[in-house]
Amino acid sequence: MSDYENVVEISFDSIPENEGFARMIVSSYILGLNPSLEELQDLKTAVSEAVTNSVIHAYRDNVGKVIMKLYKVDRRVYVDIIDEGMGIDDVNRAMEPMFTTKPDAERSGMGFSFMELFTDKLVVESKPSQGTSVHMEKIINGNNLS
Amino acid sequence: MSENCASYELKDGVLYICPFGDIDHDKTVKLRECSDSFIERGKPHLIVFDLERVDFVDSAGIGFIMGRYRTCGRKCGLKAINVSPYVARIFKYAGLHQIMDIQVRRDKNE
Repeated sequence: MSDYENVVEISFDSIPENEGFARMIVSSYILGLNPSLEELQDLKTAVSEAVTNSVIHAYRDNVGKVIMKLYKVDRRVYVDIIDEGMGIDDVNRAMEPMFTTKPDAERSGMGFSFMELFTDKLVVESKPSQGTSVHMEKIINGNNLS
Repeated sequence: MSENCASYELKDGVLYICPFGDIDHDKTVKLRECSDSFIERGKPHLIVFDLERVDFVDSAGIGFIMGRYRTCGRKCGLKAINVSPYVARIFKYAGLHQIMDIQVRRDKNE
């Protein structure tokens, strides 16, 4: 990863309160790029969705490790959210809007849709019982209006 | 009345739910429990989500609102007021404007 700038890697427990923690980390990480409010909000939402998936789906009622990797090249920011949970049987199906395995838990089924919508690139790799990795890229153009 | 992450007020059959902070998966667990206990007790004809103090909502927050619609949508109207422009954008993507009235707040620096 030597071509990337400022590589940060953090590992945390898959508990709900770390969803907010992950959003704070990614916000701080891109602050130096002077993001627009919209770009900041977009990336926070995408990260929140990915981490929430690890917390709710990957480890179910257990607590496991979630790894967040941040790196960038110029104004292109990369975020990887990696878990070693139960994995996703059918990634394409899971990424369909409104698809949820937990309708009774009031999941909206929009997690992957938001990740896709609010980033410039999304790649999801998963192996059943081995885990899932979500790779996201976002170009931060920043507030160049003033 | 204030409980954890939101204050609740029941007035003339209208339940005001005023959460503070981010509405994510973590928060919705508590929000759901409290909201439903107020809904059950008050049997409101309208639920107003006052989002003045909320700047972030993700798909879990959307699920929370859609869940209240499913629980009592037929008997009760839903409305969101003081919604930040960014949260309103998320609501629109999720199609929430089809089930509730959404009033966007003006940003202070606008």
